Amino acid sequence: MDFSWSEEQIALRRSIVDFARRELAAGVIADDRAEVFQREKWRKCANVGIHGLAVPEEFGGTDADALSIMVALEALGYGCPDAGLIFAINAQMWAVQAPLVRFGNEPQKQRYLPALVRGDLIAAHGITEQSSGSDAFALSATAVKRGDDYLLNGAKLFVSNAPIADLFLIFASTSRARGFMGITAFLIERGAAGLTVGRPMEKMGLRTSPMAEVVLEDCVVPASCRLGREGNGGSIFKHAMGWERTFILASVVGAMQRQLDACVAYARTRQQFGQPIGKFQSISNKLVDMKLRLETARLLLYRAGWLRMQGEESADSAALAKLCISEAFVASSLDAVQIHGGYGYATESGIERDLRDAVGSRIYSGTSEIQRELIARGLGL
Amino acid sequence: MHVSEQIRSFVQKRFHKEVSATDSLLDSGLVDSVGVFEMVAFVEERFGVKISDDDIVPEHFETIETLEALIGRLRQARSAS
Repeated sequence: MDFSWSEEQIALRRSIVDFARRELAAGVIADDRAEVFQREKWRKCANVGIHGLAVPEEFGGTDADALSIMVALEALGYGCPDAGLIFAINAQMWAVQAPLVRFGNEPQKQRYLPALVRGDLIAAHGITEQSSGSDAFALSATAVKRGDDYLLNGAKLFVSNAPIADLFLIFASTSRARGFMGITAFLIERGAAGLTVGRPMEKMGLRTSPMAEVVLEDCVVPASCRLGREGNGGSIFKHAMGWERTFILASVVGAMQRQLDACVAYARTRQQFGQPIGKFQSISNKLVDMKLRLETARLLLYRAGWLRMQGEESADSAALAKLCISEAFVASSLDAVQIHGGYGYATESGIERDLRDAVGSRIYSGTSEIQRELIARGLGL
Repeated sequence: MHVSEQIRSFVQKRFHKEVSATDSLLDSGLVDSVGVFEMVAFVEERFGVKISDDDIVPEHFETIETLEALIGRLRQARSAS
């Protein structure tokens, strides 16, 4: 088994790390405190090709292979401490762009993909509702066909990017009796009559990634804005989640490497009782555990990517990676705070922010509980 | 065994329900979000066809009859290529 990287992938990693450190690292503590989304940083990421990694070249992307995408995103997470920005980019890449590439008709692709890849447009994905989170297909929003239009009514919660989005991918039921097969997806532009975005929601972490409720009240949507066929929404959502679960935590692996590097550096220099604290087993054991979690997370991540490249991806491989990485990030972030002591607890260090950001990773793209359900199903349970 | 019989047998074993070729598999909630993909996996493995995400729509999974028609079309396309 060959674990080596190509020259191109090594160069890609180096260039993304350099870019991220140079252009994205400044001001994160203040932005996190004030919940500021940096549109300029978004554009810079688009300019270096992050947004278009998985988009075909004809629409301005680079159509990179799965492992190269992961290398780029891991590098982004390593060089950029703004996890909220990276999360917002990922939310668009996997939950909107990927379904557009796969299910969009030519006019839809031409209208949206190049602008999304350039960073000119921002997109949001709305499926979760008050009574349907993990049970996503129990949604209540309706889409009633009226001639050449659909009339949408409902409310979507926890819509990442909603306060800043130009385009919304919304899931509604065109036939309640048909459950999963009665769900249809729609592309709705900001400003459409009947679509309202609520106040940004304050969050524990990922505070630079804005999120809000989206309300649809007699929102008229032309049939030309339907994504895919009527009743195809369930498959479209599943397709998006397949991408999202596989790739969304690649940057977290990079963040965990950055976190470990900082903790090792601190443990080697911080002295107590006449020696570096890293010489005490209670500290070195934590660092070893962080290293173990990181390498395990990295292996599962790239295995999921490799399987995808072979056409052998499964719900298992993505779920295992997602579960492992998210749980590892929370555990290691807690260790990082502990290793740094009072300094780690203070917001000015930036250490505690990783922990606040990490908790979200156990919830979005399917909670850890749902990932366990998927894995259990794969075991035939 | 005929295609429709094989599908009916799968539905009976997996969902514990006897259905005719024209009974709706969807309106009764017989086949839910998990069941649909189990059905897809069964069809792909048993009949050697690949069902794309575009084809996971009500008109193909409505009844055993419509599913059989989809399988026939996919088999034809596979032979032609």
